[in-house]
Amino acid sequence: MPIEVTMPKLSPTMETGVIAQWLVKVGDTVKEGDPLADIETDKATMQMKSYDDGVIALLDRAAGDEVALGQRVLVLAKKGEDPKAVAQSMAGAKAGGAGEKPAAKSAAAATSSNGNGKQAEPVAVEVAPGGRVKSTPLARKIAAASSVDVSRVTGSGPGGRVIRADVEAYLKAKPAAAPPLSRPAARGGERIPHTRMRKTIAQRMLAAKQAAPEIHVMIEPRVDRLVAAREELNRGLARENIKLSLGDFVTKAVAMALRAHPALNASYEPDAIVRHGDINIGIAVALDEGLIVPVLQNADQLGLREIRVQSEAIAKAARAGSLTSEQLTGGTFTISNLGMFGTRQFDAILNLPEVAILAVGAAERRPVVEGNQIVPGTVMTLNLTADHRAVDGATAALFLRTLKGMLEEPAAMLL
Amino acid sequence: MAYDYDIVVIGGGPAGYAAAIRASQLKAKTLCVELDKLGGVCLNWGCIPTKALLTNAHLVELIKNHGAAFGHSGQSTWDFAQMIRRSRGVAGQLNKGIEGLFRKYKVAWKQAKAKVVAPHKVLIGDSETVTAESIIIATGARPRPLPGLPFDGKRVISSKEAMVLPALPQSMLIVGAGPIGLEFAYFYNAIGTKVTVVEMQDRILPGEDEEVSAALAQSLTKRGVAIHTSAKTGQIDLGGKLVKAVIESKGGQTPVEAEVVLVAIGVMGNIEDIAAPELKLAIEKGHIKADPAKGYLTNVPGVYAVGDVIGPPWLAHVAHHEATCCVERLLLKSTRVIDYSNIPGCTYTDPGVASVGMTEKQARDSGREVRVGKFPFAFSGRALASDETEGFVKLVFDAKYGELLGAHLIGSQATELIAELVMAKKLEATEEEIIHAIHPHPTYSESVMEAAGQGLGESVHI
Repeated sequence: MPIEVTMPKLSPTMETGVIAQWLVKVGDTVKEGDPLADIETDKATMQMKSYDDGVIALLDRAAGDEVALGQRVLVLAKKGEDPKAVAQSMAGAKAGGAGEKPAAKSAAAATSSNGNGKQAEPVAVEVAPGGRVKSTPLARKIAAASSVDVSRVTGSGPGGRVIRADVEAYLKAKPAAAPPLSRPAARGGERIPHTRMRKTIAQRMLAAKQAAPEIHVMIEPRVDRLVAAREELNRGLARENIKLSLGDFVTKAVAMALRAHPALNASYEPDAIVRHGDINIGIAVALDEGLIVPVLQNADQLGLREIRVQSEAIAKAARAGSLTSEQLTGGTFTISNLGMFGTRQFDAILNLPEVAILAVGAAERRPVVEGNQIVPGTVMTLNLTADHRAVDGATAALFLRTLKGMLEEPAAMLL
Repeated sequence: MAYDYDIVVIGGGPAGYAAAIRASQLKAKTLCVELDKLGGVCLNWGCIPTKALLTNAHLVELIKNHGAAFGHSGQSTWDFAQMIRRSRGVAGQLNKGIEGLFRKYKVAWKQAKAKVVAPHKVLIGDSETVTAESIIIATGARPRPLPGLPFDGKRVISSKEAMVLPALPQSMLIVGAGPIGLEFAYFYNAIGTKVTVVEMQDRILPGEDEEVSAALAQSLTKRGVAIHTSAKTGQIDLGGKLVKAVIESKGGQTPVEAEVVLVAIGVMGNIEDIAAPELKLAIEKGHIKADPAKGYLTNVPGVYAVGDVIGPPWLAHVAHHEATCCVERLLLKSTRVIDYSNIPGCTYTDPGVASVGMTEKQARDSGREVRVGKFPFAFSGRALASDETEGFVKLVFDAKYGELLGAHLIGSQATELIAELVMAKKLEATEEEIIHAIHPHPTYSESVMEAAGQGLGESVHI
């Protein structure tokens, strides 16, 4: 088989090369390493060398031509081949257009020359546009999963095929050096059928957005005292292996504030607003497949210790999928807390028919104005979403003022 | 120093004749020395003649068990002696075939005993000595007797005698439920012998996937074979007309009487008197120690060993490849090596069993996340048309990339279907390629494609 020599990559960034001048003519005998042409790249003019022995059968391009990487520039007749016959048979197959003829061996080898005569590592086998890299399906999948361009891996399988072991060896050799894919490999997408939980979430969230004109009212209590109280209480509770969270204080404070503001502990029904006697607080729990809102019954009657213990129990049951129907019903107000993820503030969507839901962000150190000074303080952002059909702005604000007071002065919860 | 030969091969079985032919193809001056007939156990006393008998049994079963459904009535009579004659005829034909191949490739061969007497020196027969640059030992293996119960060739027999019995025995006790034991169990049961099988391990075909073992046990039991697992034969009494044995298992003791006892508990390498003691040829567990990474070189320079004589898996197709790898390496043709994790194994009962790679248990024990796809032949239109719906295709994949880890087939065509999966493994195909390669309809082979898709919701027919 005659050797088709293509435009080599002589600089890392070149896309095309201009043939400055041919250093051979048809009929010349060349040996491996002989210069073939001077090529102007985007960086400099460099010599293109032969990687095979043979006789020049055909020059496809004239001096001055600009040739894209991988396109054929000449054909070499090997020993025993008649250069004239080769020229005749190969002339028609001139690799002019992009991707017409896949890269020949020489083009692949040419990349290992960096112009200074040193052999570069043979690993980077670039393929010309449209060139095919022999590889096994498994090797391709492992390469794609690791964002490795399989054409950069040297194949050790039959006919130079890239097999699993080659990709694994490549990954092991240079895990960080894997170059980004020039074009992302096709990756399998995923279609996840709706679970019942997903359908319920979708239906209830949409219904809430469609039915309830909502208002958002925000407070940013300074909770340094709360944090101190928590630390102190936790020291005492350590031997019981109980550790109160800030969220437990919020739950407690919300429950106490709801006692004073029954308008927020209510349901909106078509013909009436129902104010509930019990204060049952739903705590949103994130699960892998969605979320669920188990309920702390009569939360206003629970001490912090019970709130902690019961919150933990229902969260555990929620994750284990073992919630009882009693733990899932009767909620009158919902708290959604994303503080543990470092969220500063967010809006929650109503959990109908409840008329309000509180979104709790993280307690964080922020600059606080104290008198005429800026001092560091611990602040939380709590955002109330309320159903304006039942709760007016001032009503919500009054509730939040009470809540803020309790969170800033925890002793107030005792009143 | 010039040697008489480039290569002398000792043994003319699947390893030996393959080595000799490949060496001649690569222009090496080669001599093959075989004590018995060319073709070895495989051709003369193993793979091939047993397949002749098993086809016979299958024919008997087909008519007996399926005949009525296909409209056959009337009595069929069968001539046991003709079954044996035909089997021997097939072996003879192939044996001549190897002689023909030797002529074609100009391989010199001698029927004689051979022994490595010094490095590069082989004694042939009693007096002739030849020298060779390389010596390849491929003397194979032979049936291993039960401790304390030597073969007598009449009532305590090995597979060799089992394929040339003078008359159909009324009853047979088979010790060992590996492929050989079970193939004879199937054969003799099908043609009317009362067969009892005893296996020490907890299931038959202990090397196969557990589900396959269970399915075959159920099938053979249904056909009338008495199977005792987790059991062993106690004292065997050869004093009377019938052989008397006691099968000891957890369930207690079961006395059994049989005309013959077939011992099929494994094989042992033919290593006796193969090399002069002063060469100190390394032996391990009754087999010659050879290093696959060095082209099956033994510890003696210039001496190589391939095939059954170097140990498991004792398969003709492995012996063949070991031989060609060995020869190509020492003649500088290639450095290829065998991937011992991609070797198929077949058991030619009916239903037949074929497998390659890891069993489900091995795959799970390796710590991978495993996905199993399974398709029963009962759902195959082709199998139904043939009234051969027993068995299934079970494919074990690594869940991460869909890599095929193992394939386990039981069914009438299992031994023919396994090759596709060996190729899939060799080419590192994943489940996707198997599912999306169009398999012809209606064939048994479709079940392979369906099994690959089963569990992914891609299999339409299950």
